[in-house]
Parts: sequence; C-alpha cells; structure tokens
Amino acid sequence: MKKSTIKYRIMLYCKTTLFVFFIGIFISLNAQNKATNKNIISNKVQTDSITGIVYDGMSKKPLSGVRVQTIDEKYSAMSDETGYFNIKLPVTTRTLLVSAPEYDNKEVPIFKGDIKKVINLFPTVFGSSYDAELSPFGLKRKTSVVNSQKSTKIENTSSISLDAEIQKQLSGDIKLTNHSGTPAIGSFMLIRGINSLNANSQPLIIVDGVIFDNQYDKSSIHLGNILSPLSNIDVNDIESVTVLKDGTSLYGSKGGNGVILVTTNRGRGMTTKITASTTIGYNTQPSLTPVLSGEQYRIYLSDLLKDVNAQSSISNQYFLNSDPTFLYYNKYHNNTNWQNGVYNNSMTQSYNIGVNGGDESALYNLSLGYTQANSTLRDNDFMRFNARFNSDIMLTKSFTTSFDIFYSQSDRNLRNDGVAESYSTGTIDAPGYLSLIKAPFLSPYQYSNSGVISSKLEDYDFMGIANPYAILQYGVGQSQQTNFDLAIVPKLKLNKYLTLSSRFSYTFTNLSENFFRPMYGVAPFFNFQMGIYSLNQVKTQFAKQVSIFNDTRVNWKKDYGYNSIEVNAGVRYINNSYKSDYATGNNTGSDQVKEMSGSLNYKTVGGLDDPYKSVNYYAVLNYSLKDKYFLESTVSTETSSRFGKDVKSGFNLMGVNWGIFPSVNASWLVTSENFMKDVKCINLMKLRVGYGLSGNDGIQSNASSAYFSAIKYTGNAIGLQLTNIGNPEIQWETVTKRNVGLDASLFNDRLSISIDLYNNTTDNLLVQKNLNVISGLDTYWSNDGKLENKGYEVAVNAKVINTRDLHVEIGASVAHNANKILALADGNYVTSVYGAEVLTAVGQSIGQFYGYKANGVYATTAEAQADGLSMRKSTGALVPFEAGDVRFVNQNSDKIIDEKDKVVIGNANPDIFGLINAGIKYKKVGFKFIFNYSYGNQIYNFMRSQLESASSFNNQSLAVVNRWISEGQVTNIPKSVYNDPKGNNRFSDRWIEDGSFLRLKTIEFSYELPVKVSFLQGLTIWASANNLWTLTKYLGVDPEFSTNNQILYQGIDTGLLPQSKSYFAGLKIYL
Amino acid sequence: MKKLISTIYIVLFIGLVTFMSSCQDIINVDTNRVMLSNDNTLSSPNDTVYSIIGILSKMQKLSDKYVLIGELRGDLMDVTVNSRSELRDLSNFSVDSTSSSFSDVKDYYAVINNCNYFIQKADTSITTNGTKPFVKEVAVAKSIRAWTYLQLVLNYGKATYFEKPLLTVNDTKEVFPVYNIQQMVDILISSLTPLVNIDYPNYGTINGAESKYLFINVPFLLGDLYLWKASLNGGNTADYEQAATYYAYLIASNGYTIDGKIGKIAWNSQSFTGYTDSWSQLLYSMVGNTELVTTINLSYATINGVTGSLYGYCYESFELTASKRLLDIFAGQTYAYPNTATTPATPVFYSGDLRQSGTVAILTSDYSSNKISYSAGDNVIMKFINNNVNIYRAGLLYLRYAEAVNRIGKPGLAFAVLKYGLNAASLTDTKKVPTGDLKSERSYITMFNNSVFTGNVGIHNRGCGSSDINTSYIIPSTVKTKNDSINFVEDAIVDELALETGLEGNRFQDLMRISNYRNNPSYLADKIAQKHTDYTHFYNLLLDQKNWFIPEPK
Repeated sequence: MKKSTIKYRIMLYCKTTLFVFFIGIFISLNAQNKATNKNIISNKVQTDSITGIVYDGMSKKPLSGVRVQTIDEKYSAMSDETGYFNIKLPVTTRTLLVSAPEYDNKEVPIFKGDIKKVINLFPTVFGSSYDAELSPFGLKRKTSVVNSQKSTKIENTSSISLDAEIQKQLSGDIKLTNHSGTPAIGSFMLIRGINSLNANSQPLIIVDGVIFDNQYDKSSIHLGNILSPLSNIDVNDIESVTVLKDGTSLYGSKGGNGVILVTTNRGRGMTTKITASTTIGYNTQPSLTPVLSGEQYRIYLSDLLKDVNAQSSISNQYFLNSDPTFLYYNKYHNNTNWQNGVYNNSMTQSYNIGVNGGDESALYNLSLGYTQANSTLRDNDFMRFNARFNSDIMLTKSFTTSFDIFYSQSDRNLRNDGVAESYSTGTIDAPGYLSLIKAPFLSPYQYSNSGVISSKLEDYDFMGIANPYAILQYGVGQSQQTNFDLAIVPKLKLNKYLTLSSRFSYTFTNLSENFFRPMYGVAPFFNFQMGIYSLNQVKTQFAKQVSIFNDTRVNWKKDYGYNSIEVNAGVRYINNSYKSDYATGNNTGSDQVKEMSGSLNYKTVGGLDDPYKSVNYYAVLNYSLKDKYFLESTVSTETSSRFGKDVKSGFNLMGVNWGIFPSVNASWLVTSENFMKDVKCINLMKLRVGYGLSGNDGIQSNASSAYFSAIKYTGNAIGLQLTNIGNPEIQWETVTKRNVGLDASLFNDRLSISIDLYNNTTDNLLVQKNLNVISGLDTYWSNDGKLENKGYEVAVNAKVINTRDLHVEIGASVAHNANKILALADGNYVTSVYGAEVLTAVGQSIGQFYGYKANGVYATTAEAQADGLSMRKSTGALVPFEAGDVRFVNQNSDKIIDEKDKVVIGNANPDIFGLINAGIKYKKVGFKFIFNYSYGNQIYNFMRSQLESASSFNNQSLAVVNRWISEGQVTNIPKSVYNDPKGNNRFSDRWIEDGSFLRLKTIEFSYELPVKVSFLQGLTIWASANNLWTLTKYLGVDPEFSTNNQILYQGIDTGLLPQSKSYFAGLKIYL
Repeated sequence: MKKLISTIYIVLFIGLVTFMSSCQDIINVDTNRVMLSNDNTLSSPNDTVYSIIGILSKMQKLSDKYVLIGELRGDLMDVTVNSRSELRDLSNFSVDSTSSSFSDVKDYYAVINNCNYFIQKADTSITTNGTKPFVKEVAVAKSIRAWTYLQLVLNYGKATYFEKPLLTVNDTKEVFPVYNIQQMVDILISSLTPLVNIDYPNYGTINGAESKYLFINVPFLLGDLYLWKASLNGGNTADYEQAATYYAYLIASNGYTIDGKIGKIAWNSQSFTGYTDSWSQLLYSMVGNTELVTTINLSYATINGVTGSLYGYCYESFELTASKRLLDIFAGQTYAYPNTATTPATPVFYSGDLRQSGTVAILTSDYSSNKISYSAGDNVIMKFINNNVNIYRAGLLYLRYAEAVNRIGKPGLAFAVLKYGLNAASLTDTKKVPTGDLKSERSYITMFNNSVFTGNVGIHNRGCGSSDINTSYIIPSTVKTKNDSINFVEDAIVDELALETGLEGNRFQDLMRISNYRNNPSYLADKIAQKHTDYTHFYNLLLDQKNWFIPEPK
C-alpha cells in the first residue's frame, strides 16, 4: 500500500508539473502575442483633462495634498493649497479615486461632459463605502464587488477566538451562535439558513487562500465540549474577515454553505513597526437557576419516598432523623450551595507582540501571542501559544514568493459540561450539572464522628449522586491541539498582464485528549453495555490530520479602452488525511492510576480513518465596462474521492466523475450613469444580481461503496459483516443560489444601505433512504430531496454626527431566513434528540419540535375525571390521568394521550436576527456598543425539564416548591412522583420557551494617548465589557448556546456553561 | 502565429487530459477502518473465519424471533401483566405490520446476504495440505442460509429467494422470485443434499462454546425439510422415509442417544420427596454435550457482541411465562417409579412430569414495582438462563424421527421411541415394537442394532420415570385402526414435544406441520385457542390459515 501511495504521489507530482509547464508555455506565447497588440492600443490613448476642488465636507475648507487618481493608478494628481487639482487621464476613464490621510476614500464618477468636479471628503472614523474588500483573488474595490459579501477589519478586541469576533461584527450576515461560555469553544455558524439536512451545514473557512478544516464533524471526548481548530488562530493576527454569501462556485462542492475568507497580517511597508498589546479580563461567576434549599429539598425527597420503589433505591433514610444528637445529624443538616465550589469568577490574560517591516527584497510580519483564559467553571481553562511568520520575498522583479509559517499550541483543561443525551453508558459526572442536582443538605466535606467538619472530601451520597468537588479534585480532563502550517506561494509575473502562481500548503493538526473519572466521590455505575460495574473510567483520544493543498493558477488582467478583463484559471488539489483512535477503559484499580493501559479489562477502542482527496479546475472571468457594469462569471469542475462511480449529474471524464459549478454575478453602478449626474443626494448606488451553483460534499466517507466492518462475537472473536451497501450514484448536494442586491450610499455618504434578497435551493439533498429489506440493512445514503432558503438581509449605517471632534455612527442589520423542505425521499420523519422529537417534514422548516401540548395541571380529581383522559402503559393497559397530573391536549377524540396527539410545538429557527451597533468618537476617545438579537425562535429547555420534573432524587429548581401537593391546588407544576409513571414530564410544550433575546454584547471604550516620544509611536488604552445586559423571556440562564454542530441539536438547551458578564482592559503600544 | 497558437491549444488540451485521465488514481483513497467489498478477497483461511463469524453474529440476531415467533404464538408460552404491547400483539395474532419488530424481516435477509457474499466469493478451489478447506465453510454458509430461508417461509409464508450477494443499491432493486413454503422446501432440499457428508470446520471453543455447535446441522435440516415437504404434499411416504433416513443418519453417525442414566429428572425414591436433575444441564452446556446439535450462543453485554432479549424478558422484566396449558400438560403426566421390591418391578405412580422443574420455576412471593410485578404462583421460564438458544438437540431429533416413522405407518415403532427407546433389545421385542413396523428392514431402523444405543430409553423417561413399565402410558386398546394409532401416537409426540422441548422455539411450526398432515387447521386452532381466555375468537381466527403467518409491511 505504501509503495503505491508513493507511486501516486510521484505521478501526481509529474502530472502537476507537466500541467503547469503547458500552462506556462501557453501563457508566455500568448503574452507575446498580446504584447504586440498593446503597443497598438497604447498609441491610440486619447487623454482628457479634468479639474476640480476638494473640500473638507464638514468645515468646507479646501483640502490640500489630496491624491486624485485613476483606478489603474497610472494617472494621478495632487490637490494644492486651494484644493485645486488638474488631472490628465484617458477618455475611457469613468471614475476618479480620491484619497487623503485621515479622510474617507471616495470614488467620484465622471459623467459625460464633466470638466470640473467639486469633491467633499469627510473624516474617516468608522470606515467608508469605498474601502477595499477582500475577494478570493485579493483585494477589490468595494464598488466593483458583484457578490453578496461583507467584510470587516479586526482591530482591538477582547475576543480570544475568531468566531466570537465575527459574531460581534457580522451578526447580520452570518448567524453565529457560541456553543457555550467555555473559552474558545467555537460556534455554530449558518450563512443564509440551513442548506443541508445530513451533510455539513457549516461554512467553508479559507485562511490565506487555503481551505481550513474546522473539524465540524469530529467530536471531543469531553461531554459538552466541541473541537474548534479555528480557535488556534490568534485574533490579533487577523487582518480582515469576509463573509461570502453567494458567488461561491469557485469552491466547487465545498462552497454550498457560504464561505468565510480570513486573511492574516502581512508585511506592509519598509518601516519597522512593533506593536505590543496586552489584555486583562475578568469573568464573573454565572448565576444559575436557583435550586431548593436544604430544608426544601428534604421535604421534596420525603415526598418522593412515599413510593416504595424510591425507598428501595436509596441506601438509608438518615436524612429524616431530626434529632441533633443523632450520630449523622451533622452530615445530613447542611445548606450547601454546591455551585460556589464549581463555578467561580475567573481571569483572562492575553499578550501579543508583532513586528512588521522589511526592505526592498522582503516584507515580513512576525507575531507571537500568548493567551490564558480561565473558565468560570472551575478547573476549566484555555491556554494558547502561537507564532506566525508571514513573508513576501522579491526574488527578482517578476518572481516573488510568499513564505508563511504558523505554529499554535492550545492546551485546555475541560470537564464534562451539561447533561448527556443518555446515561445508559455513563454516570452523571459533569461538575456543573452535579452542583445543581446534588442534595443541598449534604456537605462536600466529611464530618468526624464527633461532628466536626474535616477537610477530607465526601464520597458519593446515599442516593448514588457524585460529589462534584471530588471529580474536580481527582478527575482529569485535558484537550490539547497543535497546529502547524507551512505555505509557500511562488508567483511569477510573466509580463504586465500575466501572473502564474502556485500556493502550496502543508497543514498538520494534532489532537490529544485525556479524561479520568475517579472512583472516589462517584458511585459505581453498572454499565449494561459491558455488563460490569464501572468504578472509575479513563478515556483517551488521539487524532492527527495532515492536509496537503495546492492551488496553481494563472491570472491575466488587461484593460481595453472602456473594457477591463481579468481571468483567473487554475487547479486546486486537496489531499487530506484524518486518523483518530479513541479508547475507553474502566476500573484502573486505583484513583492514582489515571492513564489508559492495555491491561485494562473493560475497554473499548475505536477510531476513524477518513482520507479524502479532490481535484478542482476553475476559471473566473471578471469583466467591467465603463466602470459601471461589472460581471463575474465562474465555472469550476470538481472530482472527489467521496463521489460515487456512477454519478448522474455532472460528467464523467477519464474514469472519474466531475461536478460542474457555474455562476454569474453582475452589478450595475447606477450612480455612474449620466442621468444620475444631478441626483446629489445619492452618492453611490449599485444593483447586484447573481445566480450560481455550489456544492456540498459533506458525504459520509465510503457511502458510495459496499464495505464490511469488524464486529465482536461473544467476547473476543472478531467477525466481518457487510455494513454498507454502496450507492455508486452518491454525489454532492447542489446548492443553487439566487441573489438580488442593492448597495447605496446617500447624503454625502452619511447613510449607507445594503439590501439583499435571496432564494437558495438545495437539490440532490443527501438523505438516508430505506433499503429493500432483502438487503439485510436499513438504509443507504442517497441524493434525493430538496429544500429552500429564502430571505432578506438589510443593513443600514448612519453617520449621525460627523463633526471635526465628535462622530456618532449608528448601524443595524436585520436578516430573515425562511427554510422549507420541498421534497424528501422516504417521507416525513421524526428524530429523537435529548428526549425531544424533532420533525423533518415536507413543507416545513428543519428543526420543528414535535410533541404534546400541555394545558396546566389538574387541580382536582373532579377536573381530571371530567376530562377522562388516560395514557397507555407499555403493556397496553390504560391508566387515567388524575389530580396533580398534567392536562395534555387530546388532539383527537379518543381520550387517550398517545403518539397521535403530537403536534408541532416550536421551531428552533429565528424569524429575524442581526445586530445593532453604535460608535461614538470624541477626539481621541471612542465608545462602541454592539447589541445582537434573535427574534422568534423557540428553545427546548431540556435543562429545565431536568430540574422541574420532580421525579428523581436530583435536586430541583426553586419552581418545584409550587408543585401540586393537595386536592384543589391550582398550579402549573405537577405532583412529584418517583420515576414519573404518568409521563407528566414527557416532551411537551411545557419545556418549549420563547428564545428571543436582545443582548448588549459589547461595550468598548478606547483612548489614544497623545504621546509624542521618539521611541513610542502611539499608545491606546481600552476597556470593554461583554454580555452586560440581556433582554429575554427565556427562563434558562442563557438564550444563546449550541450543543454541537448538528442541525437537529440546535435550540436544545442542555445546560452548558452560560456566557457570563466579563470585563476587559487592554493596552496597545506602537513602537 | 495563429497556427502556432492553435497547436499550443491542442498540446495544452492533451496535457490537461493526461492530467485528468489518471484522476482515478489521484483521488483514490485507502482506509483501514473498513474493508471495501472488492478488497475482501476471501482467499486465506483467516478471511473466511472472520466472514463465518460475521454470519454467526447475524444469526444471533434471529434468536429472539426464533423463540418468540415459534412459542408466543403457540400454546405453551404466554405473556404476563408486565408484557409490552408488541409481545401481547404477537401472542394475540394482532401484529401491526407497520410498527412491530416481528414484521421486520431485515435480520433474516442480513444473514442470507452475508452468506450469499461468502458463498460467491470464497475460493473453494484453494487447496492446502491436500484438502480444500473452504469447501467446509461454504457448506456452513449454505446450511445457515437454508435454515434462515426456512424460518422466513414458515414465519411469513413466503420469502424472496436470491443467491447473489446484494452489494449495490441497484442490486437490491432487482426482482427475485418469491417462494411459498412448498417451493422453498424443494429448492432448499436440492441445494443441501450434496452437503450431507461434508464435515464442519473446527474453530475450537469460542467463548465457552465448541464451534461445531454453532453451525446448522445439515442432515437435521434436511430431515425437517422432508417432513415439511411431506406435510404439504398429502403425506408422501417416500418423503417421510427420506426424513427418517436423515434423522437416523445423524443419530447413527454421531451416536446421539437418549441415555437412561443421564439427561433426566428423576425422583430419588418412591416417597417422592427429592429429585435429581441431570436434564437441565443438557440445555446449557456447549462443550462436550452429547445432547446438543446446534445452538445460538449469545453475548451477555453488547460490548461483547449481539445480545438477546429473552434473558431480559424472562428474568429482568418478567414479560414471558409458561402458559397454564403447559403446566397442565406437565401435571397431566404420570410418573412411574419402579418398585424394585417386586420382580419384575412394578410402577409406583406419582402425578406430574418432573421436567417441569427444569422448564419453569414457580414463584413463592409477590413483588411489585412500577416497572414489573409478579405474584406467588407465577412461573419463570428457566430455559434461557444460560443465554443461549438451542436450535437442535437429541431430544428433538428423536421426536422428529418418531414423527417421521409414525407417518410412514409405523406408530408402534414411533411410540417405542417415547416409551422404550430404540435399541437391539427393543427392536427384537415384539411387545415393544410390533413386527409389522419392522418389516422391510429399513436401514433407518436397523441402525439401532448397534451397541451404542444399548442404553437408549424412551424419551418420556426423561421426566416421567420408567415409562417402559408405565401401564398408563400405552396405546390404549380402544384405538383400533392404524390411522387412529398414528393419530394417537402423533398426539403423544406433540405432548412429548411440549414436555421435552417446550418453549424452545418450535411449537407453532410443529402444530402447523401436524395440522398440515392432517389437513385439519382446527388441530392447531384448538390447541392454541386453549391458551386464551377468548377461546372462540382465537379458534375461529386460526381456522383461517392465512393468520398463521406474520404480516409483513407493505
């Protein structure tokens, strides 16, 4: 196998070289040809001359030293003291670029007959409508962008991971939900809705031109924690982020969910600049759901113990003995707030130093960063060390190369967080959850026989509930990621118009995780899967990902009079290998032995081996006419190891199947038309339209072939069984994106508006279809189904006050997405997730909660009898609902509450979401406010269902005090009965809540100190606060959470660590 | 110039095509976590062992259905107050084909498809040390496939027959013939007949079970197939003779005996106060067990492999119990203890068959929780305490043999299997085996003239003491005609099947087959309706033979 791999690599290398060689020949010959044409054209250039005056828009004073130039920067002029300029330019030039330090850039259209322009410039504070934006092929003037996209620059920030920063800045363009309050845990991201049911739904991330694998489908061994390789990147290293919402055909079968383009800082100029920054943060202990006090809990527990089965499930009833002389009185008469020992206030610190500079032959940016963030969950933290060196080397005038190295190491201490979906193979060992359910009348520490409390931790209690402090003290939870990237981009400029470049990148990501659950403090747990009592448990996971990426392309760019043409064509190759091994072992014999070993008797092992390769050819044509009509036409064709051999779409060429992904985007700069000449209030208006196909290749590996897997047979024997029937027709999902947009800038560029309407459909939806029973297997992966996402995005930004010293800017964005399943292969279905039923049905959106409707609690027996409802036990016997039971709504007339009474009771998708931001700047002092919001989404408060069910020994929330106790009592909380035989706590709208919220995400204050020292260029101090205020009706602690990256888990609150208030202060020094 | 450019375009195109042409290689990936079907060559002994074990594991998944479909629909096993609706529905012949797991035939076809793959791919031409090792394994796969097909047609009335492995979605969409019991039996007989003499591979002991017990026994299955064939063709004697021949062949070749000294539950004295049980052991041991022919050995925990539900249903959730009818059958027997004070020994009688104590345990106290409840007097099935499900064993073998010879027209010989045991002595004792039944010197009878069988006793002895001297265990003189004798002996065999093999998974099919012989659906209907409180409803329901099969989802 090895031999052949090497052979393939050699072949690949040879062929790539051959291909590049051919392209090279073609290009150079073609270039010669074009070069001769050029001379002819340049001889014919007719020039014109335009004069004008530039004013400061606020003071109306003329501005000197303003650069006025053509787009290609070949012709330029400078304004004099009177603001006057005179520029000679080709008659074909339709736009002037006007720029001056400390003023917003501006583009001024030249209308027919224009000879004199009056230009007003306004001070730059918050960015303008004419800034350059990042596109897949480098920076572009915003006015020439044809796609629906949004960029932001990354500056002072308290965010320790990029996704958190994206949320603050681009919430209206990407729906980004932090997984939890754990530092750098990552986010669930959706660009324009949910484009897939079973394939990946998360956007493609491109960092410096290289596809970045954020491991959305891989999981951590630590409950409630999500792997997020993106957080290995230091936000301080990032220059800008762009969200590409359409026109993603370039990325073939990977662009279906939208694209996030990230660029890191590069060398900018020959002066050496050193930037040092430091941040200190303080996170407050989250306030969780209040639970019953010691005495309230004692009453609750006595209530439950009326049930004989409950009595037999506990080892003693000493807690009922109220005689203070009783030996164990002290042990059972405490009022412990368990949360205090599990949650705490915590500190964050971050240091970063960057050196930017270079000389004529090389530019570089070097940065080093260190971040240490403690979680508000005790013993959880995140430590990152990162180093990045980006360089651009000019070998000759026409041959340059970039050489980038990135290294990052993240070490985390993590404890299980939240509630597990099932406890059939584990016990409750998440300290946070335990701190809520642990009996408050018990103490974390042991009492001596004489009744004196000691410093020795208590073991698990008489109900089998673990001591969370013991887990924190004796347990282990580690997760370490190492990331190493190397990128070399040789670039050969063959002539004025032609550039050949090849981006070669090698990425190595390593993951190592350990977990240990101690036996001291945790009750032995009978593991049915193994048939043993698990006393303590070890888990490990090791994963290694190696990715080789090459993107070789040719760029050809030329202007012909009014026409400007740019072509990028190339081939992209990805060879990705992901291998992981995980193991679980039980009963190491002692809490001193916390490591996995081969000698453990009860262990399971598993792993993944998920190699993947793809080849993509692409060509992108950019054409603009008269600087007002822009067109981008893209086509890419891709083949991948994940596609089947007999794919129906696309085409088959030379043994493999290729998908074709074309797109056309066009824009029209209306304000450059002559008829707009006299419309003074509109400075810029651009209409955009786009149509294109993208793909989603998140197909389960091997779905296309029949394969056998190893199984265990009565212990140690191993057998091979057919576990998958291949579907050779398996292919990418096809996402069709349609977009209409309008960008406008009004009233001296003080009001900017951007509106987008889109309608995206996903065809060939990857679904599991039922196999004919004679195959012996249940389902196979197939492309059969369709869904759509329709919506709008509106962003408005107003410079309300724009005086010399005071600037106030207010902005808001609102996004609406309506998701609808149009067709499903085998009809509607429900999926069980955390006790919820989630409905996937044609004509409805993904993520519908499907369950019972509850209508209060029967106060009296008469009420219950009047309704006459009953439920069916598993044996088929009918049991009537009684006083104190929940009054479920009987949707049909059969008087039996069963499956048939389930209806849609909620939906996890919001109606609208977005952000509101405001900036105030007075001289050198700045304030920034960012609110984000979500409206119209429902949450299944699973955590509350655990704390309000009143059917187990777990401590309950304070609400349970109002449970039904006596005949006639009117309340919303049913009676407490051990094990809930009536199913009062079944999945119903009792647990569905309005998840809308408006949150003051960030307030930031910054002050540029007026320093004038030779060694110090500048000094900025800043302070910020996050999550200070949240407006919501949601009863849980935090309406913003995301259990994992799977779409059906969204909107289900599993009690992960909430985001809490945090305060930061920072200092940035420029040397 | 133009020419040059076009030449370059062509060269470029060729270059591009060369690059793309080997994309198959470029995008080819290897993974070592699964084995792709085209990599699974089955050319080394290891490969084949893994595949056979894979098939055995798929077969484990059939064990629940084998027992529940065979017994819960029959007259001997019953539901309890704790039983889930699905079990009740099965017992009440009201299986909901859209939701019941009993309507799901996928697991049967999983066995079949894995067998098909193995049979097609295993290289039977490979020779090591002068033998062809894979021939044995292919025989194993073929016999398991045949047994599975038989289960399918008996339980569902029909099955889709195909011998090709289904590896792609298109394969599964192909149209294959659907056979009823009769058609299937013919096909299976012809495919199994050449395999009768092939030995089993020996994998040693797998988790306490000798590997030979894990394979479907070909002669036993062939005997059964001929019984079914005869039952459906109006009782062709030649088919019964074939059946008897295969059973006898198996008895002779492996020396299966009904030994009077071991494998019984017997009172220790004629005071009937204490008894000794050496019978229960026959049900459990999977090493060196002379009784056992084929068993499905299950894992105790899912981490070790496939587990069954029977253990849980019988002991943890108490959802299955023996019917009152089975207890009545046990109670209706007469135990004969030989009083050695007299010569010849005369029987001292006691009521009841002792095998009841190995079959069920009667509870002595009440218990109730919100999951399960039981009360004193309820009985707990003991046959699955070892977590294995026996398919074939010697007791069943002898009873099937008796069933065959009885229908050949030798009720005396058949009854002797129950009462005296077949051996040289009994075959020459005309009081035990009437001469008429011995004429024509059939080898399936004469083979018992072998010292191996000297210790053979009547199978009824296993729980009823010395049947040979039991004066109440006889063909009564009121039974006059031969046909009446055959029916009488058949009834005795059916009762003995309950006493000996009750709850093990054969009941419904046994009743079905005998009703077929007799061309009388009421035979089955009557027996099963007796289990239910609403006798008439179930009697009428079961008179219609289409209700004998479990509906499959549309």
